[in-house]
Amino acid sequence: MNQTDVNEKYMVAPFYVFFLVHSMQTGIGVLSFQRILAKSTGTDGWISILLAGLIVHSLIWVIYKIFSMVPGDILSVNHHAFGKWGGNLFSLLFIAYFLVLGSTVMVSYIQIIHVWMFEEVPAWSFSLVFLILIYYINTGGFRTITGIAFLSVMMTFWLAFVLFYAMKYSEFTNLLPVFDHSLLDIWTGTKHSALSMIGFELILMFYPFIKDAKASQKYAHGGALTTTLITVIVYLVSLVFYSQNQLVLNIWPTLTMTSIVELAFIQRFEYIYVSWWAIVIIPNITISLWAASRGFKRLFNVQQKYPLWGMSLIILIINIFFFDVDSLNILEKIINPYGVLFLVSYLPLLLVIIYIKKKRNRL
Amino acid sequence: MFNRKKSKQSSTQQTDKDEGVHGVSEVRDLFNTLSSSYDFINHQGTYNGVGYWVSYYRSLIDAQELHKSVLSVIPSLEKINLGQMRESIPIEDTLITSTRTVIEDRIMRGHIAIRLDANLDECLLINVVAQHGRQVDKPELEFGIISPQEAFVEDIDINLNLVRKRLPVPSLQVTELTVGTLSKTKVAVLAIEGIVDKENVDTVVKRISEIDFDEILDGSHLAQMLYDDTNTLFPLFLYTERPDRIASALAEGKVAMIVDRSSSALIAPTILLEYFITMEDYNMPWVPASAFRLLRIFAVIFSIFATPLYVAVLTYHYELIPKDLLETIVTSRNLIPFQPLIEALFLEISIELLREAAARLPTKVGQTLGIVGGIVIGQAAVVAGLTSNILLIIVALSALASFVTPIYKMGNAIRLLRFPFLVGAQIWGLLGITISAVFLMTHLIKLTSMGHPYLEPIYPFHIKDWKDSFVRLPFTFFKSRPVNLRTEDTTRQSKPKKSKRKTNDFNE
Amino acid sequence: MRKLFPIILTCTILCSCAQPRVVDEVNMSQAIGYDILENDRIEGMFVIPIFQQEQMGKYQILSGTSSTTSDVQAAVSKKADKTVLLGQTRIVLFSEKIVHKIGMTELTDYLYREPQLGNRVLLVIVEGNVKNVINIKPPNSYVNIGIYLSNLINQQNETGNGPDTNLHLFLGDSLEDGGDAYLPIIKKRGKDVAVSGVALFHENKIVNKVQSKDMFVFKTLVQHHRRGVYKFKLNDKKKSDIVVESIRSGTKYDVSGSESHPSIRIKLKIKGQIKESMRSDNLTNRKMIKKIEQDMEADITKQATRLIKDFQKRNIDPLGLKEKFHAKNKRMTYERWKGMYPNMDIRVEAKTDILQTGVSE
Repeated sequence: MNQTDVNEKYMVAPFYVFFLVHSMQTGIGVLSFQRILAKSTGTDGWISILLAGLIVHSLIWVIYKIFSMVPGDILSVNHHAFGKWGGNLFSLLFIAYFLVLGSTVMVSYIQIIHVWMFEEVPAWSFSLVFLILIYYINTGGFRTITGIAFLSVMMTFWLAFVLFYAMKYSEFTNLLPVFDHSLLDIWTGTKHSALSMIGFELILMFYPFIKDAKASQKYAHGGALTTTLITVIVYLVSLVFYSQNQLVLNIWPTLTMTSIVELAFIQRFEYIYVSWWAIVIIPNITISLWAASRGFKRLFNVQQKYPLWGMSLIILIINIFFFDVDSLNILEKIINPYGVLFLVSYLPLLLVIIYIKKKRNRL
Repeated sequence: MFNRKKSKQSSTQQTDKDEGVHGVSEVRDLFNTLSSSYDFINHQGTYNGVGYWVSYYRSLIDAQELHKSVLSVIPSLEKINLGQMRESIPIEDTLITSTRTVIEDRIMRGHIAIRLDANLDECLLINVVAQHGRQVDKPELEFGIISPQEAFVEDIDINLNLVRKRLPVPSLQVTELTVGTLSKTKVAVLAIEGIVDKENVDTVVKRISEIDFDEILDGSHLAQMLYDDTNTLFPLFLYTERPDRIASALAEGKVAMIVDRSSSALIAPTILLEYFITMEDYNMPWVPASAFRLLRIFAVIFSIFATPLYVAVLTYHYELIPKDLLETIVTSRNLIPFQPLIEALFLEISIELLREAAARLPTKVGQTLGIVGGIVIGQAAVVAGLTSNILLIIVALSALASFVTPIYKMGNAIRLLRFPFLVGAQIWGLLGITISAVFLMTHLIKLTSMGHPYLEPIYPFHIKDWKDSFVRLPFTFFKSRPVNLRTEDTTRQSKPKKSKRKTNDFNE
Repeated sequence: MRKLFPIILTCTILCSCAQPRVVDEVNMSQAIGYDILENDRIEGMFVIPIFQQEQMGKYQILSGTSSTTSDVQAAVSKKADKTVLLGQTRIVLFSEKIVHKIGMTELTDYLYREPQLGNRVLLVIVEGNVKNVINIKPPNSYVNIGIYLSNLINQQNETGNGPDTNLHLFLGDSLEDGGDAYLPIIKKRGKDVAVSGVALFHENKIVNKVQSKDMFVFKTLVQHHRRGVYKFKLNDKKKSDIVVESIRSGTKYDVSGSESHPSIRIKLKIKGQIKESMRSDNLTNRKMIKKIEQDMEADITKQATRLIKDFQKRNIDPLGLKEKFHAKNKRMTYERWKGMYPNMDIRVEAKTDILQTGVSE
C-alpha cells in the first residue's frame, strides 16, 4: 500500500489539471443533457447547471482539503480513515465506480455511432479498437494520458463555432420567462445536470501525479468552471435554437444542432462532429480505466497491465452480450445517479472523519 | 591467402603459449600479416650502411607527400635513428612506438611506418594520408535560395572546419569517438560548453560508446542506433547537410554529431516541428517566414489526410458532398469499377513507384521519367477508367505537398503515414481517420528524442517555445533558448535593448 | 500473446468493415414528394440524379406506394438497381391532400427521426398533385427538378418575400402547443412552378393560406427581411403604383403582461429604396418622399392588421405571439391563451424609411 510516491519524472505540471478535469467532465453528457434538463426545468435549466457547478466546485474543494491533510490518493485516504478492511472495501467501490464510468461512456458513444453512422457494425468491434487504443495510451503512463487529454481539449474547442452558427436560427424569446419553475424542479434539474458534470472526481486518483499538487487547486476549479460555463452556454443556445417540445424530442440535441451547419465545401457537418467526438471520448475512457486499473494495482500489488487487461475484457464482454438501448438506460438510470449520490455524500463524510482523526491525534 | 591464415594461426598459438614475451614478435608478426595484402608495400632501403624499412598501404597514402617529405629527407640525415628522422621530417603527426594495436590502427589510417634493421619492433609512424574527396559543394537536399551555399562533405575535418568557422569560440568542444568494430568510424560529438545541458552530451557519448556493431557507414545509420525508440517512422535525430543548421542548433544548446565519411551531420535532441523549419526562415522577415512555415505544416496535414478523406467521403459519407460538387465528383467516378480505396491505392502506389524510380535513376533520365509518369500514366489511368480525375488531382497534390518538408527523412515518414489512414478511412470512414489520428497523436506524445519529448512545445506545453515553432516571431522574441533543452545559459540576448528608434508619433 | 495480437487485430478489421455506400453505387435522392392516392395509400416519388459524363442534369423519378412514408423508401428500392438513400435530399414536397389526410406530425416524424436527413431539408406544400409538379421539366437543363425546386424556394426565402423555413424551423413551431407553423406553397402554372403563398398550420392541419400578395407583410411580421419587394398604391388622385424594395426590416413586439387587459403592440420598421414610381412625381422632393413613407406605413399597417385580425378570428398564431406573451406572463397556459387570443388587442405600428431612390431622379 505504500507506493503512493511517484517518481518526479512521471509527474505533470499543475496546470494540466485544468485539462484533465475539463476533458473528464466533457464527454457524452454535453451531447445529451439538454433533453432531460429541459423536461424538468425548461427555461430555468441554466440555474440548475450553475447550482450543479457550485456543487462540483465545493466537492473539488473537499478533495483538495482531504489531500492537504492526508497526501496520496483516495486509496491511502480510505486506508487512513477506515483502516485496512474498511478502507479497502471503499477503495474497491471506487475502482468499480471508475470502471462503470468508463464503460458507460464507451457504450453511449458506440450507440451514437450506431445511430448516426454505422448501424451495421457490431459494437464489440468498435469497443475492441477503442480498447486497443486505450491500452496503447495507457502504456505511455500518466504523462501520455495527460497529453491526450490536453490535445483533445485543444483540438475540440473549435467545435464551439457550431454554437455561433446555430444562433442564426435562434428565437431569443425562448429564454423567457425566467424563474418560472419551483425550487423542487430546479433541484431535480441540478441532479440531472450534475450527471453530465461528473468526472472531476478522478483527481482522487491522479493527485499524486501532479507536481506541486497544492498549487493545482486553482486549475482544477478553472477546469470545472470552464465546463460549467460551456454547459450553460450550450444549454442556452439549445434553448434559443429549439422550441421547448422539440428539445425534449431530441436524444442528442447538440448533435442535431450541428446538422444545421452548412459550409461551402461540407454539406452536412454532423458526421464530422460525431467522428471528431471520438477525440473527446477517448481520454474520457482512458483516464477512467487508468484510474480503475491503478487502484487495483495499488490494492493488490500487481502489475497495472493485468487489471487493465481484465477491465478491457469486461467492457468487451459487456459490449458483446449486453448491448442495446435498454442496457444503456439501465447503466445511466441506475448506476450514474447513485454514483453522484455516492460522491456527494461520501467525500464530505471522509473529510469529517479525517478531520476528527487528526484532531484526536493531536490531543 | 593460405599463408596468411597460417601465420595468423601460428601467431595466436604463440601468444597463447608465451603470453608476455610479448610485443617483440607481435610487431613483426603484424607486418607479416599486413604484407599478405597486395597493396601493402614494404620498401627496404639502406643509408650509411643502416638498413631501414618503409611500410605502408599504397592505397591509403599520398605518394607525392611520401617522396617529398619523407624519402627525400632521409639522405640528408647525419645519423640514422628514428628520433633524428622524426625531428627532420616536416610533418607534425608522428609517433614512435612499438605497441602493436597503435601501429595497426595508424597504418590503417594512412600512416607510414619506418623501422630500422637494428630494432624491427620499434616504428616511426608518419601521417601521410591521402586526401581524396570532393570539394565543399552546394547543398543538394536542403537547398536554400537565401542562405549560404555550402554543404558538408564526406571528410570529418572539413566538416568540423565548416562548423568551427561559424562558431569561433573556444567553448565549442569536440569529443571524438570511434565506433564499429570493422568500420572504425570516427564520430565527433560537438557541443558548446556553458550552453548545452551536460546531461545531453553525456547521454550521446554514452550511447555512442555503447554501440556494438561491426559497420557504421553513415550518420543516419548511426542515428538509428541512438534512437530512444526504434519502432517509429519519424526521424528522432535531425539529419542535415547544412553547416549553418548545425551551428544554429549548437547555439540553441543542442548536441551535434559529425560522422566521418558521411556528408551529413546529426542534431539531437529534436522536436517534431523542427523538421518543418528551413534555415531560410531565419533569413527572411518574420511575416513571410511564418507564412511559409504555416504553409509547410498545412501541406503536411493535407498530404496525410487528403486521400483518406476522399476515400472516407466517397465510401461512406456521401451526405457531406455539397450539391454543386456532387455532379462533378460522381461523374468522374462513374465508370470506375473499384471501390475508392482500391482506386486511391492504385494511384498512391504508382506515385510512390515513380518517386522511388526517379530517386534511383540518373538525374537526366529521372526528369523524363517524372514527365512520363505524371502525365502519361495518370492520363491513361483516367482514360482507361481506373481512377477518377479528381482523385488524380488530390493524389498529385498530396504527393507534391509531401515534398515541401525541408528534411528528406520527414518527407519519407509522411509518405508512409498516409497508408494507415487510408486503411482507417476504408474501415470506418471519418471515424476511422479520427481513430488513426489519435493513434498517431499518442505515438507522437510517447516519442522522445534523447529523452526530450518530441511533441514539445505542443505537449508539454511551453508557450515560450512557440516563438520558433508554427511561426517564427521577430528576433526580439528570441530572448531565451528553447525551454525543453534545459540549457545552462538560457539568455540569447544580453539585455532587452532600449530601442534607439523612437516610437512613431506620426513622425512628429 | 504478442504474436497472437496482430492476428486478432486483423480479424477484427476484417469483420468490422462498415457497409460501404460508395457514391456511384447508390441512388441518392435529391427530392422526395408524397402524394396520397384514392385508396389512402401513399405514393412516394424520389428524384434521383443520373450522373453521366458530358450530360448534366439527367435524372429519373422512382415512385412507389405504401401505407407509411418510411416504407415507401423500401418499396422504391425494390424497383431500383441501387439502394435509394436520402442523405442528399434537399426538399420534401407534400400535397395538400396528404397533409389533410395524415397530418403533418405523422409525416414529419419519420423525416426528423432519420439521421440521414439534415435539419436543413426544405418542406414545401404543393397545391394539387405533387406528381404534376415533380414531372415538370426544369427550364434550365443542367439541374434536376429537385435541385431546381430547392433553389427556387431558397432564392425566394433569401431575396424574395418567402419566409425562411426548413425542417428544423417548421418542427420548432409545429411541435409547440397548438402547432402553429407555416410552409411555402408552390403551384404548377402552365409549364412553370411558382410560389403561390404560405400555408398556415394549426394542430397538424393546414387551416389557412397567406396569399402571394400578402407575403411581404407576413414575412415582415415573422422574420427579418433582407430583400423583399412591396407594391402599393399611392394615396393621391392618380392612385399611382409605387414599388419599394426593402433593404432591412425589423419587428418588435411589445407585450403588456396585464392579466385583465392583455395587449400586444407590433412595431414594424422597414428601410427601403424606391424601385419604381410614376414618372410625374418628383422624387427628389422631400415632401414627396415623406408622402410615400406615410402612405406605405398606412398601407402596411392596414394589411398587417387585416392579416392579424384574420388569424385571430381563426384562432391561429403563426407569428408565435403565444411564446412572446408567455415570456412576459409566466402563468399563461395554452387553454387560457386559446380563450384570450381571439379578442386580444393587437395593434400594428409601421415605420418606413426610404433611404434611396435609385440612380435616377
